[in-house]
This record gives sequence, C-alpha cells and structure tokens, in this order.
Amino acid sequence: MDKPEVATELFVLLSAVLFTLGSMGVLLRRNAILIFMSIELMLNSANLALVAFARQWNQSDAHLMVFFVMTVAAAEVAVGLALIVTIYRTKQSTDVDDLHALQG
Amino acid sequence: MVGTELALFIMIGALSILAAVMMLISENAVHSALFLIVNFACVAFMYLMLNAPFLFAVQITVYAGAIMVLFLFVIMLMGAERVLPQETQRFPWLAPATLGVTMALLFVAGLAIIQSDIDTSEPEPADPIFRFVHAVAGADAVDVYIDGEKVVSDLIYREASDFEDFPAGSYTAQVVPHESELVPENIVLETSVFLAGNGVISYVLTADTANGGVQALQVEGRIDPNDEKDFARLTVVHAIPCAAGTTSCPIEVADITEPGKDPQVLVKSLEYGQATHFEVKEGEYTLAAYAQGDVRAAIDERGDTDEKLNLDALVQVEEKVIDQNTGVLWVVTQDTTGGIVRPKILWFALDNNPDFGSAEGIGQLLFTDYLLPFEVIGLLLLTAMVGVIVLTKQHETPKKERFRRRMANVPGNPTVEEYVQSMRKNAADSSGD
Repeated sequence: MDKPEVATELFVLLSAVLFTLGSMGVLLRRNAILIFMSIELMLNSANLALVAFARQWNQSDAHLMVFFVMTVAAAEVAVGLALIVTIYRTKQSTDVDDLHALQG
Repeated sequence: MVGTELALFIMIGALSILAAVMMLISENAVHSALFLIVNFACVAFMYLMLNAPFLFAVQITVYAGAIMVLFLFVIMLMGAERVLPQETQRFPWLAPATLGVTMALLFVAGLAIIQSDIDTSEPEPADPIFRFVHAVAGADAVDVYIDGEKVVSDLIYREASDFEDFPAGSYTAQVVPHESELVPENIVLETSVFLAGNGVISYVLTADTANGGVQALQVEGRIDPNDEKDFARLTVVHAIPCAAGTTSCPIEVADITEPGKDPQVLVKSLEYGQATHFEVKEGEYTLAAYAQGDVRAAIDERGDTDEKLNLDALVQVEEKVIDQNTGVLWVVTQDTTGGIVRPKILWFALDNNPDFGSAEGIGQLLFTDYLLPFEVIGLLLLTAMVGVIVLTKQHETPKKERFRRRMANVPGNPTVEEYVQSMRKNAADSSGD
C-alpha cells in the first residue's frame, strides 16, 4: 500500500484537539444544551480517531463501530433533550447550577 | 512542498477547530448549534479523506442533519437561546483550572500520539480468502471439504464458489461428488492447501489427463483497494487437457481488439495446468486464446466454429469492459455441450471483496459478523424512543379527582361526596319548607 499523503497521526492529533475542546465545553459552560453539544463534539472526535485507525489497519470493522456510536449518540441526544425539556418545565432554566436539589 | 491532500487537511482541520472554539464561546445557543454543524461537516469531509464514503453520508444526514435539527428544535421551542449573564460566576477558579487540566491532557495525548510511531507500524495480515472454480468439462457438481468441514456445496461446472475466509495455515482439501459422503472411495481429489495471510486464492479444479483425475491449480492474486492503479490484472489459466499422447500443448493469448492491426500477444506458451497473469489498461477488449503459433489462423478463423480443438481456440470477449484496479480470472477450458468439444473461456472476478469503507462493504459486515450488535442497537433506539415519550408526557390529573383531593386536603373539611350530599340535603330541606 502506498503511504497516504496525510499521516494517520495528524488525524489522531486533530481528534485529540477536538476532544479537548469538547471536554473544555463540558467543564466551562453551565448551559445544559451546550454541555450536550460538547459531548457530541467529543463523540465525534472519538469517531474520527476510529476511522483514522480503520484506514491505518485496513479494517472495516471500525467503520461499523463508528456507525454504532452514531446510533447510540442519536438515542442519547433524544433522551437527554427530553430530560432538558422536562427540567426546563419545572425550573424555567437550563443552567446546570440551578439543579441542586440533590446537593448535600 | 505541501500536497493538495495535505493542504486540504490543514484547511478543513483548522476550520473544524475554529468552529469548535466558536461553539464554545458563543453567547447564543443557536449560534453554538450552527457552529457545531460546521464542525460536523468538517469531520464528514475528513471521513471522505479517510476512504469512508458511507460514514461521510451518515455523518451529514444523521449528525449534521437529524441530531442538530433536534438540538435547534429544542433550543427554539424553549426559547433558551439567551445565556444568563451570571453564568460561570459561581466558581471563579473553574475557568483557569479547566484550561490547565485540558491543556495538560492535550499535551500528554499529543506526546503519546507523536511518540507512538503509528504510521510506521505494520498491520496484522488479514485472514486469507479462497474459493474453488469448477473447470472440469462435463463433470458433475462437487462439494468441497476443508479439514472435514463442508465449505462449498453443489459447485457446478463453469461456476466459482463464494470466497470463504479461514485463518492462515495448512489445511487438507477434499473434493467429493455433490451429496455424497466424505469417505475415501468417494473422494475425487485430496490435496493440501496452504493459506497465507492476506492471500486471495482461487483453486481451479481441472481434469488431470496424466493421472486421469482431477487436480487443483492454485491461482493467487490480491488487488489492494487502497492502491490506486490505472490498470487491471488478468490471470489466465490453461485448463484444456492436451490431446491423448501429447505432453505439450501450449496456448497463447492475444489482444485482437482492432482487426486491422497486428495482434498483440499478451501471454506466450502457457502450458496446460499453468497460470499466468498480465496487466492491461482499462477498456473494451477482444481477446483470443489459441494454440501456440497459430495467431494468424486464429484471426483468420475469427468466429469460426471449427471443431478442431487447437484451431478454433478463439474466444471473443465482446465488449468486455475491464475496469481499472480490478482483477479478472480467465479459465480457458472446454465446452462440451451438444457433443462438440470447443474451447471456452470462463470469466470470474479475481477478488470480489467490496471496496474498503463502501456502503456495500459495511452492509456485508453489518448483516454477517455484526448482526447481533445491530439488533441490540435497534432495540436500544426503540427503548430510547419509548423513554423520551414517557419523559416528556405531561401528567394531567383529571379535574374531578383534583377537586376531591383539594377538598380532602384541608383537615376537617368534608369530602366531595359529603359536600354534594349535604348540598342536596339542604336543597331538599329548603324545598320542604
């Protein structure tokens, strides 16, 4: 196999940068919807790394893995957004700092 | 000098990082969602660069399409796009701490990636795949056993079995007539086969005139789907047994696509039982197989149905389009239909593996090796759907019940029934007066 022009390392590095940005979003933002979007960003960066390694090892199985991750992400988004909508109905806010009913 | 692909990667990668940062710092949740869509589109483009066209389509339709529409829908439905001004003021140390921790994470991850030498490591060889091609003219259908396990059933003349994959190693292959027991007296051919990693092997069953039996010719070939080539590889197998009493009956294969031009001989002196391969550019070809040295006769008798075995060995593959970067297996064998023995070319794709990352390849994996996980995921989606409906359902209490509860909640108050009864009694009393 010819050496690909863009090295796998570069894709994995990009994936690491995106993952870091996503984790920063989860930690810094207090809006529940934005936290959710950051989680999506992290899932996507993991997918990117999977696809990069799939090319590296010439294994299509990782593509299946990405497909499954996308499906799980879709289910997770649906349930998560439903939770946010329900919380918004009672609290009139999506700020996670307002949700301290279980605080000790 | 930066290549086109690398330049594209740098541009799209920078755009995806920029979109992610903008998503993080946007004041408006709708803007954040739109920036996230840009980021997803960039990642989809990366999938395209990584030979994953199916995932590219799924990323655009499912992620950037369905999921982000759901996000925007919820944001706009709740009117929650405005961000509260006192956000993140509760813990003033949180922002610098987060920055420090995530940057440390990125540094460690980057160091690990750069030091890991991913690009220089070699992948494990894939399991070899193999198949059997039945080229014994006039013989009945056969079954093939590998180490006692039936892998090919009812293989008839001129057909090739599907590719099977086995771990690399040595095996014993046994060929028996179709639907007969695997006992020594039934075995037509027993041969040991060695399957090496990454191999794509076709075993062509041909008649063995020397020993009066069947023999298996091993034809190897692998076209690396990632290795873009502008030619196709043709493998030719000579499977016409020599006439009785002769030991040498070589054939040639020539390109006679253009009748006016001199034929271009592609394969010279291919003996019975031998296989060879050559490379051609993509295009339409008319190829002729004929007894060695008979190229003029072959062209002169083009299309002639001469019964002599060696002379009419002319088989035209009309308008056979050969795509680039593919492999083709040709078995030159005999056609005995109608009592006339004529040469016949069997045409098979050498490697029918779908392209890496194509929808076909993913579908094949999904419905073979990953059927159970696929169904579990489907079940998960169904459960999630039911869960969402349950979560967002408004629990409306019936009016009457609510009224009764309120009446009963105050200690000493009568319940609804008592209240109604007392009202009725009052009414009756007053009318009685």
